[in-house]
Amino acid sequence: MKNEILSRTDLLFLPELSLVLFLLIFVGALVWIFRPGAKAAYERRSRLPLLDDEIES
Amino acid sequence: MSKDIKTVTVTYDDAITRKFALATVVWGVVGMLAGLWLALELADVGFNVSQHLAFGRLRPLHTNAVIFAFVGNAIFAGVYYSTQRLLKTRMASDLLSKLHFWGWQLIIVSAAVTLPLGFTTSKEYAELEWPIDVGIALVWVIFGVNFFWTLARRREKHLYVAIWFYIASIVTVAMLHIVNSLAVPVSVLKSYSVYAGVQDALVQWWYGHNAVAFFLTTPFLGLMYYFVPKVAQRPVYSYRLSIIHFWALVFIYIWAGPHHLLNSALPDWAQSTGTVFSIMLLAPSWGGMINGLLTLRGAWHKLRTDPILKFFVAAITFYGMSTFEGPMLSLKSVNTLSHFTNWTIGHVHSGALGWNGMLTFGILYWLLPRLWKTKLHSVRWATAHFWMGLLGIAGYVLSMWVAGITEGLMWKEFDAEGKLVYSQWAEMVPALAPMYWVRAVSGALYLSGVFLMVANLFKTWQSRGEVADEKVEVVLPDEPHEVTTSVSWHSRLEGKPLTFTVWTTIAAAAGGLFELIPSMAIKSNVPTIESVRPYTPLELLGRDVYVSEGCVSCHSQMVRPFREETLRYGEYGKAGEFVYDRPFLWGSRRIGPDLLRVGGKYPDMWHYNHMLDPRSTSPGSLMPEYGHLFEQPLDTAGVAAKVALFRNTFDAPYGDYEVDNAEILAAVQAGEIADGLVAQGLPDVRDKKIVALIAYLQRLGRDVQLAAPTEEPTE
Repeated sequence: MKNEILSRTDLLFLPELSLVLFLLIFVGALVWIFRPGAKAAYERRSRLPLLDDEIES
Repeated sequence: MSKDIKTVTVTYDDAITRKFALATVVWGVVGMLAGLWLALELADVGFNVSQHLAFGRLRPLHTNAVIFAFVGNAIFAGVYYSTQRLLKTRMASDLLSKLHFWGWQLIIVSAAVTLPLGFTTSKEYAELEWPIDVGIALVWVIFGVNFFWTLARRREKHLYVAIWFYIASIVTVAMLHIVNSLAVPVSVLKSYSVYAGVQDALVQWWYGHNAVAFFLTTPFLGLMYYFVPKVAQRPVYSYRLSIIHFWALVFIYIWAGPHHLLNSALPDWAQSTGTVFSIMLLAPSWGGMINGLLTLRGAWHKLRTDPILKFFVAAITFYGMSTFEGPMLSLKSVNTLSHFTNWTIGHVHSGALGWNGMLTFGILYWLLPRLWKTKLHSVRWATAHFWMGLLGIAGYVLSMWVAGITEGLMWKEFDAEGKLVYSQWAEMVPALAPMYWVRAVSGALYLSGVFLMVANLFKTWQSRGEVADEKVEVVLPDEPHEVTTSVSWHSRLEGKPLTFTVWTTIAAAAGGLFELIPSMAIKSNVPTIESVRPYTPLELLGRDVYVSEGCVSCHSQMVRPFREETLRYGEYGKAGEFVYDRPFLWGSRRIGPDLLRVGGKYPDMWHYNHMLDPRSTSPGSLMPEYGHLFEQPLDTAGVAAKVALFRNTFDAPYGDYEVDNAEILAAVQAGEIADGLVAQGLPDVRDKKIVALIAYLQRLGRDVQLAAPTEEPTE
C-alpha cells in the first residue's frame, strides 16, 4: 500500500528542491555570519579552548 | 553582574583520556602492521601464509583496526579531554566512561578474532557480524548518554565549535550504523542484509562514505578546533567561518555517498546527486582547512622547533588535499579511469595516514606528557617521526597514483584494430609490481616512525610525575550558563544542546532520506528481469563461502557500460539482476578481474585448479591459494533455514519443494559437479566447500545471458 502510493508519486524533484533550498540557506547564512559588527560577538567564544583552565589550583 | 568572582574546583577525569590514548597507540601499531602485511602480500603472493591472514580476510581486519581501533580510540581520548575542559565539568559518569572504554576494546578484540576466521558481512567498514553490531550500538549509546549528560551539567553556556562536531558525530554515526547494519540472523555469527542489490549498495555507500565523514572527519575537525588553538596559543582564526564550515559540512556530506557507485547499475539520478554534492563539499572542506591553518597566524615561526605543530600543519594540509581529490574523483569522467584502481587506495591513505594519522600523533605528543605530568622525552625523536611519516605518505600516495593511472589506462587500451591490448588480466599484473614494492617500503617507513613514537612515549612515561586527575578552579557565571552579551539566534542555539542536536540531526539526516526513500519506494529504480532467479541452495552456500573468504576485496561484480569492460567481461551490470544479492558484492577494487559474468566462462575443472593453485591457470596471479576449501567440509545442515528465510522474509520466489528439500537439492547439485570433476581424474569433493564455491561462480551472470535483450520496468 505505502509502496504503491509512493510509486505513483514523483519524488524525484526532491533532491533538486533540496539543492535550491540549501543554496538559499547557505547564501543567507553567509551574509548573516559576516554582517558588520558580528566579529565582536564571537570574540570570547573563539578563545574558549584557551580559557578552559583559567585558574590553576 | 556581581563583582564577586565565584569559583568551583573541578577535577577532570584524565584517567579515561589516558586509557583511550594508550589504546590508540597499541591498536595503531596493530592496524598498521596488518596494513604493511597486506602491502607485502600484493608485492609477493608468498606473504599469504595462512587462510586466516590471506588478503581477503586480513584486509577488513586492517581497515577496521585502523578506523575503529586506532582512529576511534584517538577520537575518544580527544573528546574526553576537550569536552570536560570546554564545558568546565567532569564527565557525568565515570562508570559510563569505563563501560565505554572496555566495551569498545571488547568490540575491537571481537573483530580481531572473527574477521580472520571468516565471519564477515563483506560490507566495507561494516564487516562485523550482527552480535558485534549490537555491541557497537550499545557502547555508542553509552558514549552518547555520558556525553549529553555532561552537556546538561556544563558550567559554560556556550558550546564551542568542537562540541558541535562531536554532537554531529555521535548522532550521525549511530544513525548510519543502525540503518546499514539491519540484517536478519540465521545463526550466531551469520546474517543476511535486509537490503538487496542496488538498494544494499546505496545504503552501504551512504554508510561507507559517511563513516569517512562522521568518523574520520567531523570528530577530527572537532579535535582540530580544540587542539590547534591550544597548541598554538591562538584563538581560532574565524569563529564565523567555523559556523559556515559546520552546517555546510554536516548537511552536504551525507548526500555524496553515491559517488562510490558511479557508472554502476545505481539509478542515474542518484549518481548525479552524489557527484553534485561531492563538488559542493569542496567549499566547506576548504573553509575548514583555511580556518585550521590560519589559526596559526602569528605562530608560524614555532613550526621550526615544534614537532607537534608540524604534525598539525601536515594533517590539515592533507585534509585539504584529500578533500580536493575526493570531489575530483567524483566527476564521472575522472571516476571512469580511477574507479576500481589503486588511485582510490592512494586517496584514502592520504586521508587516513595524513589527516587522521598526523593529527593523532600531534595530539598524543601534546597530551600524554601532560597527563603523565612530565615533558616529552625527545623532541628530536618526534621531529624524526614527523619526517619519516611525511616521506612514508609521499611514497605511498605517489606509488598508488602511478599504479592506479597505469592500470586504469591499461584496462582501456585498444590496438589499431579495435581489440583490447591487454585481453588477459595476467598481462597487466607485472606492471604494478614495482609500485607495490614502493608502497610496502613507504608503509614500512611510516610504521617505523610510529615505532619511534612508541619508544619516545615509553621513555616519557618512565619519567612521569605523580599521575593524578587535573584539578582546576573555574569561574562560575552569576547565572548558570549565562555569560553571553550576544542575542543572535546562533548564539542562543549554541546555548541549547537539545535544540542544537535536533537541528544537527535534521541537517545530517536530510540527504539520506531524500536519496534512500525514493530508491526503495519507486519500483522503476530496479526494473525486474524475468529470467533472474534466486540462487539454488548450493549456490547460496557457495556465496557464503565467497563472502567469508573476502573475495570481494579483490574482485568486483559490476561490469560498467564501457566498451573495454563489455569486451573484457561481457554484458554490463543491470539493476534487476541483483535483486537476490544479500549483500550486494559489487566491490570497490579490482586486484583481479570482474566476476559478474564469469559463470560458464571456464569449465569446473578450471575453477578447481585455479582455487587450488591460481598460478597454474593464471601465471603471475596475486591470488592466494585456497587449499583449505578442499579440506573443510561443506555444512549443508543450515541451508534449509537460509532458503526459508529468503522466501519468507525477503520474498524470494522459492517453492515449497525447494525449501523442504534444500539440503537434498544442495547435495544433488554438489554431486553433479563432483562427478564431472571425478570423471576428469580429480578427487571427489562433493562434501567440501570448494564444490559450493564452484557452483556459485558458475552461476554468476548466467541469468542475464539467458534473458531477452531488453529489460522491462514493471510500471
